[in-house]
Amino acid sequence: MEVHEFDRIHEKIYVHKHSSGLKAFVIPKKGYNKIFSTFATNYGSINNAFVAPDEEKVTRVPDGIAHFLEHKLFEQEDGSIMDKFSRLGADSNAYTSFTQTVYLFSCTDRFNDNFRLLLDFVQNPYLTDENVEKEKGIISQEIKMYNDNADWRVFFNLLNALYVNHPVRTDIAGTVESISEITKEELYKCYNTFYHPSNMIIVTVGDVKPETVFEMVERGIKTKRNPGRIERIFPEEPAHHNMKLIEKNLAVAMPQFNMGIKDNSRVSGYDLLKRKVALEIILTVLLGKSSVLYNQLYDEGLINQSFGSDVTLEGSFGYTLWGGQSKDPQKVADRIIAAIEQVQKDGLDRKSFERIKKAHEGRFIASLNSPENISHEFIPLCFNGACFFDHSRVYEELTFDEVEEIFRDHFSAKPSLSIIWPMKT
Amino acid sequence: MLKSNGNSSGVSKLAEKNGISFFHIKSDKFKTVKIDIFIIDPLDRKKAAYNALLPFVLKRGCITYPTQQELSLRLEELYGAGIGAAVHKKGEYQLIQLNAGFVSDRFTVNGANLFNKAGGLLFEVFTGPVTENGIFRKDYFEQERENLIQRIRSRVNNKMYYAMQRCMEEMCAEEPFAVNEDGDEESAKALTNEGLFEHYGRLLSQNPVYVYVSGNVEDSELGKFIGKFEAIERKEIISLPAIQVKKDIKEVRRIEEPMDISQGKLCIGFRTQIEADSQEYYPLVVYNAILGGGVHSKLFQNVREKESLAYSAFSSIERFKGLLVAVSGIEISERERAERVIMEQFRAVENGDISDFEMEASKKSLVTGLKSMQDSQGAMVDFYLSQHLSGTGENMDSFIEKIMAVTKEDVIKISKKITLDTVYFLTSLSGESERSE
Repeated sequence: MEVHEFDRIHEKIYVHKHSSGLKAFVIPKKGYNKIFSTFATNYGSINNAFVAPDEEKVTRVPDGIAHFLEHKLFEQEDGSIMDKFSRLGADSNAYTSFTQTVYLFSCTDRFNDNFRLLLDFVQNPYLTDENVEKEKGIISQEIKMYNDNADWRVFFNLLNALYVNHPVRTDIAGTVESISEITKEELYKCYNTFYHPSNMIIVTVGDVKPETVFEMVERGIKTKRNPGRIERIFPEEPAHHNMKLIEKNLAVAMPQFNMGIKDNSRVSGYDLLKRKVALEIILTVLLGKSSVLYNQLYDEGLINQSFGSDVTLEGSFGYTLWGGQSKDPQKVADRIIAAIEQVQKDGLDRKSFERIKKAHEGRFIASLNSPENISHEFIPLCFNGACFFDHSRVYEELTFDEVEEIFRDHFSAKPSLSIIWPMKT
Repeated sequence: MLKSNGNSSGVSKLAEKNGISFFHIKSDKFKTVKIDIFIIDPLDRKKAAYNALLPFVLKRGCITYPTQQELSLRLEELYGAGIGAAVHKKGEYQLIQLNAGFVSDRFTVNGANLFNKAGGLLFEVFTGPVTENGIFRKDYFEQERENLIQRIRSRVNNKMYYAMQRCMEEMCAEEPFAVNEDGDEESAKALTNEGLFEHYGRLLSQNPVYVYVSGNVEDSELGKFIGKFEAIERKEIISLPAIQVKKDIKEVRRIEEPMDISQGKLCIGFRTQIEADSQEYYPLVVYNAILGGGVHSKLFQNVREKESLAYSAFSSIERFKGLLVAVSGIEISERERAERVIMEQFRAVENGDISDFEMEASKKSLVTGLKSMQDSQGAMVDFYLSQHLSGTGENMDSFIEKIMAVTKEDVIKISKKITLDTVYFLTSLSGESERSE
């Protein structure tokens, strides 16, 4: 058992490495009633082509299969796993992102029983032709719900505008058509490839003893052998964006927009975290509430409180994005492009950088109140070889010159704009 | 049986003066301190838009930091502190909220005393707005009124939430509850700066105010903060009217609203006939958990798992108005079948068809939820505010005890009171399912 201490933020991480290659983490939260535990695989919607260990040929699977598998794992031969968690007083759930599938529960009582149940069900899929078919109706409604959701559509349209080939441009749940093709055999193939413990981590946040958790991991993880590497296949993605503008009409009151830039650096580990933090700071310097541009646009009624920005960096893709509601998204986009060009000439403001770095550190510390948030941020960074708690190290070490360099590199690429217009009347 | 396990975060009342009540939710497990101020006003169509606008105008700036940019800059200097504005409704009360959140001093360099600085700033935003010619700054008023109008129009964006709101509005069409927490577009357009400033003065001088501080703060610091409120000139405090909960339903209403969407949202609205401070409220909470409060519930198990009709199927209670709405997102063509399946679940509870599993899982899920609230400062503030407004004065532990004491018979008994009121369906423009794209 290893312990990593983070004095600046008063946090600790306990790590246990299982012989299968699985890593288990415990992040103690003294005084918390709730224990939040997750079992995550490094497998998400973008992994639709791969070469399984011990195989030579490429397997291609329908879009939405990772998310479909997430739904199906909750079903066991003797009934729904959710019922079993309910009997134990726990809330259970799962989510699928571009790069991970995460199973979770939270409880305030009977942690050991719940934790064993989590280990058990994720390792034991039960798929039949009938139960696969039945799930298609439920997931179709989930897809339709997202199709009516303007926040979701404006975001996926932006990814379509940014990416030419990379599967991040495809909806996580797939389409009603793509999921209709999914078979039991394909689900098992994906399961056997990506749900090996060597491709997975377990993260528990709460007032628990690390020894107890790790002992249950030792007993509960059945596989010992590490099968070797999974080759993940991605199509060639050009550095330039796919298109400048993408538009759609939906039943919304006011136009919504997302604008973003593809990040072409392929970094990992601490460098990835550092670049992510730097880009977050840059976006706040350029577009945050204390920036000149934000206040001009706000005062002119071109943006409102819904305006915000975000950074995503992963091993095979990455982007910055910003957006919200606006009566004139094109005008906002033009003004932002002009402001970026101005900063490319003048350079970033050093004073703003120092002040915003301190503010972001404060907000990072505040985010540590929430066990869900810690898990949610910890897992993707972990799969990218970085540690979430190293944020405080980045805030300490990150220099103005590094941020300037990242700014020049990232913002040299051309942005794309996605707009959802209200329905024409 | 339940006992206080030492991790229970209680609330203590620090003071009540001139209709301003101060509470401290003390805990040192959080890395932040939060201060929440709520002004309470009876929900009324004429005033609702004023209340919805006010906190956003106040948030634009204060005497010391008169612009949004200067205020944001100051908040960044205070380790990324935040000042927030919001408006809510609980039953027929409208709540105007201003709050501040910031990291505890142990994470600042040399113990920066953020409570004093950020708390002072929040108080100034609350009481020291930027004015010109004796009213709010004209551009702030106009911009925020425009933002409010956009916010009201944007209610349609979140289809599920919109459908639930619309269902409850239709149910209470002749009652104050039909007014949205943001007011309506027509009243928002008619707001004047003079009217808003006058309204602000009235609220400051005569409306009940609740202030919650959560986190670890020294008593002496709390005392200083409370002392600031003495500067507010208070008159006789208005008393909040009782909310009409009981209502005879002579005929079930059916409403269909078309919109350009692909998934329909079916909302079935009921009157619980149970008041917020009634002892029957606790069986009602368990009732709702059995019917539609989670994955163990009848709606999830039947509408989703058994019939594959929906991805979302749940129910929720509006405690203060005594409403219950069952909601699901369905294929347009499945409307009749979905309504039948949902009503079957409703009748099953009424007929006492509640398994031991459903009873136990519901109570456990509620208790887990309640205990988990104690891990979030925001959830605790909302919980205690509801107890204070309903006048029950329960704390987390006593609330949990009341839930645990509920029997199947209690649930069946109150289920007989629950009456179907309105069936609302948000449907596509053609009223038919579209062909798959």
